[in-house]
Order: sequence, then C-alpha cells, then structure tokens
Amino acid sequence: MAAHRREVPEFSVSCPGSSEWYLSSRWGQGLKLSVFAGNGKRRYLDGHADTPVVLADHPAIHDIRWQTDMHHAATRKLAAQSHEIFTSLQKHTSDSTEGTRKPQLVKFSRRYRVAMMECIEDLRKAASDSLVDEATQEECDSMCQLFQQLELIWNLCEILFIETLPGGVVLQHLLDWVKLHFTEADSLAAKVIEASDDEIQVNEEYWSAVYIYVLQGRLPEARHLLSLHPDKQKDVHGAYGKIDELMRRMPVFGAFSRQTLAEFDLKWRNWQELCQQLLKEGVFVSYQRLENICRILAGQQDVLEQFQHLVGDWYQLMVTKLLYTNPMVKTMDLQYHAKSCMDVFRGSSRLLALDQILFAALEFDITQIIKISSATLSNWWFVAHMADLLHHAGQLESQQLDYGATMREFLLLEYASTLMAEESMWQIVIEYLDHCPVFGRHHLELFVEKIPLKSERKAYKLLKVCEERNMDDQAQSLCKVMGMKALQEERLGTALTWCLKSQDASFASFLAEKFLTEYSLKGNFSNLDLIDNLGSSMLVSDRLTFLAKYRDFHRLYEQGEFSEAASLLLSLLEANLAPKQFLLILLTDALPLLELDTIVFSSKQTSQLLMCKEALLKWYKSEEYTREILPKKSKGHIELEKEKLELLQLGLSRNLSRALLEESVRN
Amino acid sequence: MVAEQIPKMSKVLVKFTSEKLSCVRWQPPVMQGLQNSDTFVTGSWDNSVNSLLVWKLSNGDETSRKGRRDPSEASRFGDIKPPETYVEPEIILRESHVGDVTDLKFAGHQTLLVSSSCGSVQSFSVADDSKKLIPTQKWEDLHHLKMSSSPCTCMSVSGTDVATCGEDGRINVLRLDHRKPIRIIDDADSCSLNAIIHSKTHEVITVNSAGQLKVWDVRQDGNTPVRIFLVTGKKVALHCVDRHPTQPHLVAAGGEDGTLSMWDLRKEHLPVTLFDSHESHVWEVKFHPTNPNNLFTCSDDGSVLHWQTKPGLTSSRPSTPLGGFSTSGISSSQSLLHHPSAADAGSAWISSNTNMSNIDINHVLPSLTMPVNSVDIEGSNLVCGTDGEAIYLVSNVFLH
Repeated sequence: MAAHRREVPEFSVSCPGSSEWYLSSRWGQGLKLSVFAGNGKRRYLDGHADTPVVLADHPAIHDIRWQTDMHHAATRKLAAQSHEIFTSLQKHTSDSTEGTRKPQLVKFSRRYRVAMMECIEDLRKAASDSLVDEATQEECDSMCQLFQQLELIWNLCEILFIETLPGGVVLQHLLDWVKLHFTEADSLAAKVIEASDDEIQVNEEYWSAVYIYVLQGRLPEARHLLSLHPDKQKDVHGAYGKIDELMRRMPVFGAFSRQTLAEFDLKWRNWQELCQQLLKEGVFVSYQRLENICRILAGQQDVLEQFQHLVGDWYQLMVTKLLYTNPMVKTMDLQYHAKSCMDVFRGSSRLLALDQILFAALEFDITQIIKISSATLSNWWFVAHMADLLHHAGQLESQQLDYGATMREFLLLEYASTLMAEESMWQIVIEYLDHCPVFGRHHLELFVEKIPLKSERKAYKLLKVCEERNMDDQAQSLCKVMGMKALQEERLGTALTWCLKSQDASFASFLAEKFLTEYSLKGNFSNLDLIDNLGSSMLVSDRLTFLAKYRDFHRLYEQGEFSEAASLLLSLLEANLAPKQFLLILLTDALPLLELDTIVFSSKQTSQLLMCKEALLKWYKSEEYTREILPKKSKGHIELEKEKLELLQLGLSRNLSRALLEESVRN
Repeated sequence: MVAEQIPKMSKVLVKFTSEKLSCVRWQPPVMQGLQNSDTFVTGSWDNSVNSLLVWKLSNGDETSRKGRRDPSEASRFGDIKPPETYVEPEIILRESHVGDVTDLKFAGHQTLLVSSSCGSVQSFSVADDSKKLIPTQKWEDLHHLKMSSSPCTCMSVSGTDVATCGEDGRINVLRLDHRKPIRIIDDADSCSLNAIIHSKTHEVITVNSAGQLKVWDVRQDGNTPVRIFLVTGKKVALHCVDRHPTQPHLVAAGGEDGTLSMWDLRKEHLPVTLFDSHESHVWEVKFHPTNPNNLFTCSDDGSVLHWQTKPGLTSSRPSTPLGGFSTSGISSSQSLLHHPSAADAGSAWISSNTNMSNIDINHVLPSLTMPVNSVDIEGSNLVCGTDGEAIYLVSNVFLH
C-alpha cells in the first residue's frame, strides 16, 4: 500500500488577535487548497479532537486553485484533443519501425499544432464575446497571446528537431514558418483591395504590403499586387516589367527539386548578379519604390535597416537576411545569424522569454528551451507535450534528474497535477500517469483513492481502471467503499453485489449475518431475488453459503419436499456453518418436520439432531455465552427459548420412538 | 461480407465539447419515418455544473466557414477552393443542469425528458426552431435512499407514460402533466436498476447490477416481477437494454463484461444467444428504429459496433460454433425455436444456428482510448458521445 508517506492532511497558521481560530487549510485533489477558519489542530493537540464542535455561524470554506489554465472551456478542448494525440503517439512508437517513424512524428507534431490553432481561435472568440465580463475577456486574450507564442515556438522546434531536411537546407521551412505566423501583409493587401473600386489605391499601405511580401520571400504575392498598380499599364521605361521578371526568375531551392546544391548555387549567383547589374545601370532610378525592392533582392544590408519597422522582429529579419544573402544556410549555422540579428533589434536591452527560447532552439539546446519555457510561460501543457514528442524523436537525452525521474516524466507529472484539480478530468490524468515509468504508479495509487464516487457508473469506470492496472488494493477498497455506502443506506442487496465483485469474504460474512439477523427478527427474508439466484458466488464465504443453503431449505419445505428438506437441514446443522446463535432457529425449523404424519427423520438422523441439541445446551452453559450473550437477552426471550427447547426435546424423543418402531417393523 | 462491398463510404466527423458526454439523442422529426432529423441533444456528466447542449446540423458552405479561416489560407491570392458540401453540427443552445445527465428521452417531437443523478426528472418543451428549451415540469426526489438522493439511471417512454428506474432499486411511472408519479414500486429490486424499457403499454423490462432481467406489469400491486431472467450463474451487471421495435418479445442487453445477450421472452430464462465482442462495459444498446436488422452498441473500451443480420438467411445452414462467443442455452432451446423464415427476419437474432456467419459485426469508429457512453441512430446518421469530451457524427451508415 502506498499509504506509508502521505502529506499532512491539515495545517494551520495562527492568526494574531485570536487565540482560538487558526487559518487552516487542507489539500484537495491536485493543486487545490480548502482554506477555512478552524481550530482542529489545536484541539487535536489538546487531545479532544473527537468531540464535536457546534459552530454558531456557518464558516466559509475558500476553494483555492492555481495553474488552472487548462480548465477554461477552450483550453480544456485542447487538453482533451491533445490527450488523444498523446495516447496514439505512445501507441504508435511502441509498434513502428525506424524507417516510418520520422514522417509519422511530423504528422503527430502537426496534429498538436492544429489543436493549438483551434484553441487559439476559440480563445479569440471568447475574448471578443460580449456576454462575458471584462476580466474574463482579458484573461482569454492573454491566454490567446500565450498560445500564439507557443505555437510559434512549437513550429520552429518542429522544423529544427523533427522534420527531415534534405542536406540540412532549412530556409524554405523557415520561410513557411514566417509566412504562417506573420500575416500582416495579407490583411494590408486585403484592405487595399477591398477599398478600391476598379483601380487600385496606391498608398502607404499598398507599398507596405508589397515590401513585406518581398521581405518574407513571398514573391508571387508581391508580383500579383504589383501587377495591379495603375502605372503598370503605361510602363514606359519597362521598370515594372523588369522587376517582375527579376522576381519571377529568382531561383528557389525546393526540397523536392532534383537540382544539386552546386547547381542551385550557380543559378543563385547569376540571378543576384543580374539584380546588382540592373541597380548599377540605374533602371529603377526614377522608381524609388522599385529600386528598394531590387536592393532587397540584391541582398543589400542597408535597405533592411531602413525597413526595420516592416520586418517585424529579429527572427523575421534573420529569415529575410538569409533568403537574400545565404539561401543555402545549414541548420547548424543558424545561431550565428540569429545572434547578429538579435543585436540589431535588442541591442543591449533585456531579452524577452520568447527571444531566449527561440534562440535556444536555434542553438539546438533543448534542455534550455524547456527550462526557460517552464520558468516563464506558466504553462505545463506545452513543455510536457513538447518534451514527450522530442523524446519519441530521440532528441531528448534521457538524463536522470536529481530525484530519479527523467525530464519527460517530471514534466508529464507536473502537467497531470494541474489537471487533477478539475474533478472530471480524472480519466485524462490517469492516462498521462500511465506513461510515467518511475513515479507514475505511485501517483496513480494515491490519486485513484481520492476520486469521489458519486454514482455507480463512475465507480464501474474507476474499478475498470484499477483492474486493468492490477491495482488490487485500490479495487478492493473501492468495492468496500461502495459496499459500505449501500450498507449505510440499508441497501443490503447492492452492498452484496459490490462485495461479490471484490470477493471480499469477511464483508460477505458480515452481510450474510445481517440477512440472518433480519430473518430471525422478522421471520422472513428480504432481497429474495438476489439470494435465490446467488449461484456459485455463494462460495465466497461460509456464512453466505449457509444463507443460500438455508434459503434452499425453505424453498424445499414450501414445495413439500420434506425428506430432502430434512436432510439438507441436518447437513446444515452438522457442517457447522451456522452462527451459534442461529442454531436454535435451525432446530426449531425441524419441529414441524417432526410433527408430520410420515416420518422424515430416521432414528439415526434423530439422534444426530439430539446431539446437535446437546451441543447447543452445552454452549448455553459455556463461559462465552453467559458472559457475552446472556446479559443482552430479555427475560421473556429466555423463557421462550426454554419453551422451544422443551418442545424440541419432546418432539425429538417422540420421533425417535416412532422411527425405531417403524424401522424394526420394516426389518 | 456485404458491408465491405458498399461503395458509399460513411463519413466520421469529430467535435470536441470540453465536457464528458453521458448521453446523446436525436430529436424525432416532425413526420417520423418521412424525413430525417437534423437536431440532437447531448448531456454531460461529472462536472460541477453539467449542461445540456442542443446541436443542429447545418449544410455548411464557404460562407459559414469564413469565420474560422486558417491564417495560412487567409491569402486572397491563394487558389479558391471548390465549394464543398458537408454537414457540420453546431451548438445552438446550452442549458445548465444540476447533477449528471443520466438519460435523455423524447416523448414525441416536442417534449424532452432529462433525468439527473440527483434522482429527479425534468421535462422541457422544445421550441419549433429548437433554439429554446422551456421547462415544463420537474419531478423531484423520485429516486432516493434513506439518507440521500440516488441517481435516476434510465427512462422509458410509452405514449404519455414515462417509467424511470434508479440505483435505489425503485421503479416510478410518471404521466406527463401529472405532478405525482402514478405508480411507485418501492424495493422493486434489491440491487441497482440500470436500465428500463417498455415492452408493452403496461409492461416494463428492467435490468439490474446482479445480472437479472425482470418483467413487470405496472398495473399489478406489490413489488414482485412477472418473470425473472438471468444471464448466467456469474453476477454480471447489465447496464442497458433495448427491445426489438417490431417484435417486443426480443430483447437485447449489454453487460459489464462486454457481452451482448439476446432473450426471447416467450422462452426460457437464460439468454438465447450471447455475443462476446466488446472488451468492457457495454453502456448502450440500440436497435435501429425502422431497420431492426441493425443494432448498435457502444462500450467502455472505446468502440462502437454495428451488428447486422444477413439478409436471405435460410434455416438449413448447419450450425458451426465459432470461438469468440458462446451459445449457452441453445441446446435446451433448439426444439422450442421455430426455424427462421425470410418473413420473420427479427428472429435471425435468436436463431438456433446463430453464429458469426449470420451476423456481421463492424466497427463504426476508428479505435478510441476513451469510453463511448452513448450512441443513437436516426435514419443513416449515427451520433455518439464519449468521455474523451467529443461527439462523433457518422453519416451514411450502411443499413440493410
């Protein structure tokens, strides 16, 4: 049992100014504290913890929870969805070969991202929902921003750690990454186009959109937008045509193109030389904007500084720079470029958490990514799932932490405990704990015991959880709890079914005795539907077997099968299954059989009955009986018993003589 | 295998709800049998505050998609996708509910009944556009124990009568518009009653947690059932029960060990056939209301099964027992059972030579890890609710 070291159930802090009341609190499930004004601990120390206290007014119990970021409706959806991905990922990697693993992992990573995007969308909706108060709106908004950041980081990690990159050429993926997350140009372009009737309005926004498209390397979009420019039609100097041609001809190193790096390099150099040549020739001299574009294409650094406000942030600058100066950059070299771009944007000012995480990713320092994310982003969902994915990708070294678990396990445990406080998420919590090889089981055992059982259906589900994991002690105690609950409500039948589920012999005996007492008091059985159909489950305990057999005796008697009834009764008496106090009732049951016209007890059986009676009388004289049971019986009761015994004596001796006579006649 | 040759593919749609769902039900269409329903109701469980959700299927097109555009495809210059017709369920109403929703039933087109784990039943009148639920009546404390309330586990509707059962082993018969139950059977069962269904107007069938199926005449006084049926000697709790829509003596029940049992109530006490296809608790069993050769079950093991009897079954087929299911009770009943004919298709479920070659069993959903608590079918649309906090909508389920 895992009960040997548990947390202190209650702790208290003394309040100044009050000698009696303490600020007390108790742990709830998971990250939850119930705080109240109490004096339990003091009374416990004084030694009268058991005496009930009547409180004058209703004390308030404050429910304190923290790290509840996954309990909101939108994030909970993410929790459920990612749980499904998580479990299929665990199943997948246990039965897949090395060859198919990587592309599958990318799919899993994308599924996580889709779930995040849905969550972001839901949070955005919730943040603008006019039905909720402002505080909730703000909370949703900040969560939305957080998840956007997380998605940005996740995407970069996916590119760097999980995708297979032919030749380590990473640029195309980075461009997609920027395109996916920074869509300012799209909204600007849409705005410009929507505002124009038949001719495009050439304004600052128009040019911003064009520049951003170019900076992000989205040249087809930029060309499309440029083609809408009214000057394009009367392009006297051919400048528009030339820039369009330049952009069209820019070589792109696709992951699936058949060209080698050297071929691409050659093409690229030729193209960029062309750009520089056009600049030198002054083709765009009278078109300042187009010249700017050409200068970007030619990879001139100073123009980037000029457009810093359009670039966005250092990581976008890095991608732009690489695109137009070093398109064949290898993943390993990214960190040097990142450093210089960061210097441009941040200079000496402090780095934000996001900067540090992205930079750590570019440095391939996974431990650092997780460390900073855990410390600053206040969200265990991200680090737990990220670490798990990287673990499956073979990227996370399984280094042991000081307290025995790996980093992955530590993070999964932390994530699971943030879910515990939300009562209905226990099934999800259990599945996460299942995948923690070192401490998972221990946590699970403690957790399962604390899940409140409100209905039988829930109990069935939880019982299945215990049985699947061979948690016998917990299964046993769960059945006992359900059985005791039913017993307190005087639902003996339900109590018995729960008891039979756990094959709990002592509880079964206790319940059987309850049934028998009920019979001896009322003279008839309740719950007949259950007792009559016990079948093989009666064998759980001797007492229960006795109960079922005794009920059989009654049935035989009612059906008029007296000799079978008589021998069953005798075997019950002889087998010593009955409780001692029940012996008299059994013997009394023999009375009507003795009084029948036909003889059902043979002389041998009758003497056996007599011996049983003697045994009973002997027990009546024993010390156990006189000390413990006799004082509890009323005078009338004792008289009645005496009378019964006398009747029995009479009946038995009469039967004996009749039986002897008949047997001698027959012989 | 007939089902595998069907070119029409069924489509599965998933919607996450951020609540664990205990029950899903289609609202019957105004003209039942002539049109398909497009509205269903779900109920949640295990939350501190649970809710009822009303969903409507909308024929989505580009306009309804506009609101949730992916940022990656937000470009106006991207290629325009061809408009795709698809059906998407949308939440049109959310109503909070005290306690777990344990069962949902419609009485006709417009009355919705909701039972609670607090032992009460609430009826709602559903507005024409389904956008409003107007509470009409609440029966409090129908199911209770000595000291506390007890969950109402199931309801069954027959005309204006509603029979309820609960973990307290009590049966109540309610009549819509009557404030008090018209019949209460206290201590009807010494164990928990898990499900109830009307077999005739005045007759109900219950299943309990000790593996017994009982038939009750609600007009009779006293608390003894008309008949008791058993699964086996083992105490296997039965969780759900359904009756063949056209042959009321044919009853299917699902048990805690994953078995599906079929009884012929005209015959002996043990089930005629036992199928062992689920790995864990069968939470709901449902005959197709108009196509009773089809049956659906959902289970704690995360699977939903579609059972169908093969058409054109002949009685001359030799019985070959196969592994994976048992045929207990058959030997004793063989002489009693009449041979199935094509006209009596329902008895394919209980034919003496029932085996895997007579009944096709197919998975409806890809395998899930979380329990599926409820399943309902209307026309060729199937919906189920899971503990994974999602609904699964399967359209174009192939039916015989």
